[in-house]
Amino acid sequence: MTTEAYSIAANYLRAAATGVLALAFVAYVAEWALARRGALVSVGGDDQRSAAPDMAAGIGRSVATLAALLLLAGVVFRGLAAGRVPWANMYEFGCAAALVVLTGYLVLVGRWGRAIDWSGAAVTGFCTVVLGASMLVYVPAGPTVPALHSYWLVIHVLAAMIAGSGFVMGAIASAAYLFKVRDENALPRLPSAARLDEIAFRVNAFSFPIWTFAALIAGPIWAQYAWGRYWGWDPKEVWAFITWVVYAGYLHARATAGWKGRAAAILCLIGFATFLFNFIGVNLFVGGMHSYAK
Amino acid sequence: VFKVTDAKGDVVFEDAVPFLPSDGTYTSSGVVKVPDARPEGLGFQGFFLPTAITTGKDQAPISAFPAAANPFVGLFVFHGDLGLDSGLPQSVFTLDKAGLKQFKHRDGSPVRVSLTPGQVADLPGGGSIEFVELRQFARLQIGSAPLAWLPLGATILGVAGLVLSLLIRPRRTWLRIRPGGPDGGSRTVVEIAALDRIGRGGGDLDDHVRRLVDALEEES
Repeated sequence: MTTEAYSIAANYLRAAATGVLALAFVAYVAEWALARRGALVSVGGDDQRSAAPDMAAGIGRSVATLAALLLLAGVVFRGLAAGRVPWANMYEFGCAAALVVLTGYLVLVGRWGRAIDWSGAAVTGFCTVVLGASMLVYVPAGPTVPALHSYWLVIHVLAAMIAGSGFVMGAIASAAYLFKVRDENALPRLPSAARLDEIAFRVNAFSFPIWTFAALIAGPIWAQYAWGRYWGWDPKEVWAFITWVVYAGYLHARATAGWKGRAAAILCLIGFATFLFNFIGVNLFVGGMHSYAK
Repeated sequence: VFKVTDAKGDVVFEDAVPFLPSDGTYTSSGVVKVPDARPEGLGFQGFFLPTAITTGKDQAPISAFPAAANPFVGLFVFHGDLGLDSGLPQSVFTLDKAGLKQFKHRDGSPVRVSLTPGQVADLPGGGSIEFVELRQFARLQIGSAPLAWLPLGATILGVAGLVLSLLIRPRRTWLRIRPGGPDGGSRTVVEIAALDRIGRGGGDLDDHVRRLVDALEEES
């Protein structure tokens, strides 16, 4: 296959993955809706729990797996078309990061089962939006500027993607926690508030050291020999540091009386917001030496 | 390197002009000042694209790559007094347009001269400008961070400590030892209690206390 053919195939696969993922999202939303009706019925004295929500979740999971495979093929083809790792600009980062989030979700469902299954609607919805929105910053496959010709592109960006995926899961769990802690009976498919808090902590505790490595170790090492200084207060660097500080605050808040629970969950969401702004806002509106959006 | 010929046919400028890069693909801007042209001084202001590509009809070309794969210069042309004789210092990268007028087409749109290396363009007021050749210049930045290993080492230590603190589950164990049993005799009563800081019903908490009790009973 020629480079051109790879590029076209990558675009079709990404588009297909977006559509299939939207279907998975619909199935997961159906799961929640069916569970809601099931809860109303059971109040009426009927103790039989309907199997319909589980079936919808199963369909969602299968369709999401298909979408992940399509997206994997798309990202690989994109890499073949460009002749490098497929995460060197905003569009590619969006696609690859959606793939990492999706894969992480499916792997966690395999390991933790129901403890994580409930987040399907949020994960597939989020990834569909990311994939769709990444079309807005589409650029044709091609070589990168020379400043990116380094194996640190693989290490630094991949670590940032993995950490970011954990932050996505953590933010979903924290948002769900805020709902649950107000009313334990709301959204019957969700685990208890205490469990959600635990999940949020575990994924964030997993992501935080990786984020530290990506933003505060691998990044500066690369900057040291690419730009001659390991920290230059570039907008991206500053925002990565802000994200780091907020998540550090979250990890502390969770173990501090008066801050655990709601306040910690809100901190987690603030941290995720700074992460998103770093990806979207700094790329598109701020500029600086990390501006590879186009 | 540009060569400018004025309306009388004299070569009035032939020199290299630096264009400052302003982004990652080296879209550069700069000016050419030709005060010696007759009858009027000439000024050129424009941009340089190392690898010019057009993104569509009627779209301004953009630079796709920082290396000089398809060099291109676009210049707007001004005529008049460049203000070089006023005695005030001037930037070599901007034109002082106070005494200058821009050449315009009949419909009012500004005249733009587009050149690739080796090309010559005629100027509206007579004369011509030639893009003789492209010479690259390098900006060198010399830096030294002799203590860079210190933050690196400190950060690595910090992450190591962080990972340990996240992995290790803290547990507190209390022993309360006091004289006197329930009947007020001379026995010593030992109470043992333990608490996991991150409580998730780990299950081995009871074992832990049990082991301590067993150890104590063996001692006595």
